[in-house]
Amino acid sequence: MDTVTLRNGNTMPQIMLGSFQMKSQDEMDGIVRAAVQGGAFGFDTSPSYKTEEPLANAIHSVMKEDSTIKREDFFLTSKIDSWQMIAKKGDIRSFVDSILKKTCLEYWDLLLIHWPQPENFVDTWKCMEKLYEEGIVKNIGICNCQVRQFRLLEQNANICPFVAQNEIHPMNIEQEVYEYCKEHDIVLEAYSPIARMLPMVKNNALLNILAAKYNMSVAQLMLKWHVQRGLVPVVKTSNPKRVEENTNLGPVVLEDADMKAISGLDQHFKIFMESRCCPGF
Amino acid sequence: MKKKYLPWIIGIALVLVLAALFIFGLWYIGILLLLLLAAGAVYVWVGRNRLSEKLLNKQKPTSYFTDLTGRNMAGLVVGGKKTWKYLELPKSADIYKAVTFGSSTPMLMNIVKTYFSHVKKQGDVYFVYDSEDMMFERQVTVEDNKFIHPHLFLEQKITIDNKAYAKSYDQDSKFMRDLMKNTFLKKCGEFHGSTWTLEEKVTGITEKTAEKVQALLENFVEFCRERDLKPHILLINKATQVEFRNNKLMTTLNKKYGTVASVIFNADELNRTVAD
Repeated sequence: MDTVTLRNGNTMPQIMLGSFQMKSQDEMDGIVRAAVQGGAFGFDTSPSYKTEEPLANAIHSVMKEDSTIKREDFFLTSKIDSWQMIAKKGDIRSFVDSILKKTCLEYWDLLLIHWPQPENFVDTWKCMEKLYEEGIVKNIGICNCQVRQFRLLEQNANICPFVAQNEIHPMNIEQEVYEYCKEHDIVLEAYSPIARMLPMVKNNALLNILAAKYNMSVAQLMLKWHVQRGLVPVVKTSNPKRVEENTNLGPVVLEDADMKAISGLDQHFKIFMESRCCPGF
Repeated sequence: MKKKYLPWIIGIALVLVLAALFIFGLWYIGILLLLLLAAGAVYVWVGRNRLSEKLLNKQKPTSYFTDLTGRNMAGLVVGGKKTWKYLELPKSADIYKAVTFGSSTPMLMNIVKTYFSHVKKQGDVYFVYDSEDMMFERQVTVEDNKFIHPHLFLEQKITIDNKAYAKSYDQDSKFMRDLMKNTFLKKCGEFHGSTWTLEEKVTGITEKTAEKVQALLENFVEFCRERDLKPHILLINKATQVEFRNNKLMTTLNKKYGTVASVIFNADELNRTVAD
């Protein structure tokens, strides 16, 4: 699997696997196994998904089964949720310590603020800066932020985020955030990168024509579009067979005109609306 | 007795009642009673189910976030009882309505905070303020929690008394009666041109509350502008002293922010202003 290099020199996988709404340990085990077999070692979790422990269990199982696989081979992302930020007024260290202890993982490769909860956003970030400096987390970043939240950190923080994760797909290309991240050397991750294959993408004429042209599925086409834009898609599937399809996109290169045509589908359509998920966002 | 058996028990009871009436030759009365009882059972069952939702959990259900309707809308309107009762917009208006059956002014701001993402950039957000209808200090109800994200309550340290407010709207006979009446009257065009003069008893608000209201409305204007949205404050006029206070408020806000506030006197004005 290809990697992308962050501003601090660390690397992360070009494609990450999500765990939102993954229901059971069995399901998690199946996905992690299939991913590792296919050479994909990047996983994304969050306290609100309730998948931190199942993910850690699956990873420990894989390492136990194959001693050549080490913790360092994985790139594990977790998040700090709004209720944690509110509960501790931004001093979220105890949550990080507690989950690392519970999962026997020692560190997160990437810790993200899940939503920029307005009251505690800056204080939480400052606490994460300390965790980063102490090596408890290897990289830090933010999710679901618009340019005004990036600017808020610019004014109040010491470290600029290394990674940002937003909902991005052809129906919502987040051009302003994309340009900001490019300018500030922030790696941009795209969650819901295939827009959950809603009918608006599944039945989209352009996407279907281009998928046929490049001999790939519509989902692969969208993932390829992300990768060529320089983004890291965080794709989720519950079907181990799909892991290969989602992580192995082949050597095909989309033409510039096709890249632009896909970006032209943008209609600012978000599945997860910011204010509904994070009031006052 | 386990709650899950309740529908079975109700069902069996209905059958027994019907059988008894049949035996005694009261077939027609039996059918009528059966229908009434079945309607009652459905009513109770629906209400009970809604109550059993875990309203106070820290995480909203996923469906709350993935409601795929109402994206990039032209506007959002928030308001209390009056707006709930009189606002009647054509679909073409493309306005997201977040109006409630009674709400405090701070709660309306919470509604703005929760629903503004439905509006496109440079879209309009209408805050309908009725000084007589909305108390400034009002305890939050379980109902409020149905449409406002619980994180706002956590953040604002607001606790909800579950027992005192455990009744949902569909169990409130007055609300259900009003809802049916209101829907019917709206359909008949009854509210066109309705004025609100002397509709309710006018109560005075203190100078301190008036200051709080002004601060909140200023906060609303700044909140919207920070998010590339156009704020509009509609002040409902009814009696003379309200009109005086509203005019003062309107002048102050407009002086500070340009034309953001206006006064409205009747239902037509409300609907016209929002739809335009």
